[in-house]
Amino acid sequence: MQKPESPDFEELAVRLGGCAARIFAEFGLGGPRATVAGVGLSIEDFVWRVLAEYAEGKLEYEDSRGKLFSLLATVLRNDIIDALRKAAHAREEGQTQVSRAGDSETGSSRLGEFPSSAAEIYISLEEDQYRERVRAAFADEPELGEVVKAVLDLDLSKPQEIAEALGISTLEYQNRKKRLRRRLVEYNLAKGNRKGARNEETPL
Amino acid sequence: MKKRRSEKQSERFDQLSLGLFGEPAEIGFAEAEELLRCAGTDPDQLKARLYERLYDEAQLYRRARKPLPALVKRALDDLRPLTAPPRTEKDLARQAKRLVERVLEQVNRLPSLVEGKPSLVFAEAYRQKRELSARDKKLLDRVTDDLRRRIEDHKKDS
Repeated sequence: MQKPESPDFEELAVRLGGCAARIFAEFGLGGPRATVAGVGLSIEDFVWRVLAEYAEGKLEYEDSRGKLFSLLATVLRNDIIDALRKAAHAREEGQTQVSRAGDSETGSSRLGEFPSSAAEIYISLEEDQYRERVRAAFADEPELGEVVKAVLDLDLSKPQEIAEALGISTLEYQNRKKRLRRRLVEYNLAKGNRKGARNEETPL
Repeated sequence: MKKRRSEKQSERFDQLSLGLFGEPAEIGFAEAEELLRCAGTDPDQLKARLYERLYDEAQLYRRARKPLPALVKRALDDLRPLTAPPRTEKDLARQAKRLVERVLEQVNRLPSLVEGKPSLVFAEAYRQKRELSARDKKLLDRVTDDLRRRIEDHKKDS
């Protein structure tokens, strides 16, 4: 019987944190105080949930299922996307109720159905908007923009295919992916900070 | 129907994400620290807060007189903040190693040290130390690899 992989929780926590920062950025969330609107969960909350579930044995892991980190990172990604989806549904339902209430006898809207804070940004889970966000993040980066075009316009996903389409080595493609990850997170931090500054300037 | 649509949507996001940003496993420890900093989160603070939450969770087990799961105990040991007073020699060694890592990280950020200089050679004398466990050696190897990679990256960028 194979000996189970021995976890290093410090490494797991930091790597899951890095992954969460990347996933948040992919969906346009940036800044140290970024949370999924509606559910109010931050990078730390998502990492905590996955780590705690694993440590307490609620998330079972066997070596046959692949690397532990990959498994936990998949759970993390699914959790974040589920939370974004739930928030989007809750918002849609809230808006429907607001419009119904608006048609009622009093004609007044139910303010309680609006997001709790004007600073909350609801993320659309439409593919078009995902593409738009990615294109905007790399608009000023020609080399990285080439990868974006290969994936979004040519619909390529295999490393070999992408590297061939770009006429670069797979090692160079790996290097560009690393730069893409970093640039995406930086771009969203700057965007998050700008939004934060605007919200502070605008009285509610 | 709705569920199938959301599953399809998730698969599509995964496919795009994979092509653009790669597998999650491609993010190593050093890069993850960098991404967290880029996102405005201090990795040490994140670990400290996770430790606090884990500590509170452990208290619930103690109060309920339930045995603490082995992995929770392990997580508490691994995430124990470096600023906490060391309880054992192992703690002391871990804190010392982390301090060395930080010094190395800071050195690595000084571009003047590597600009135009010949390749740095890592002595890796720690490999001969018998008192270091396999895990300790792995940790030091990771620091060395990270340092080497950053120097290479920096050379490419400049």
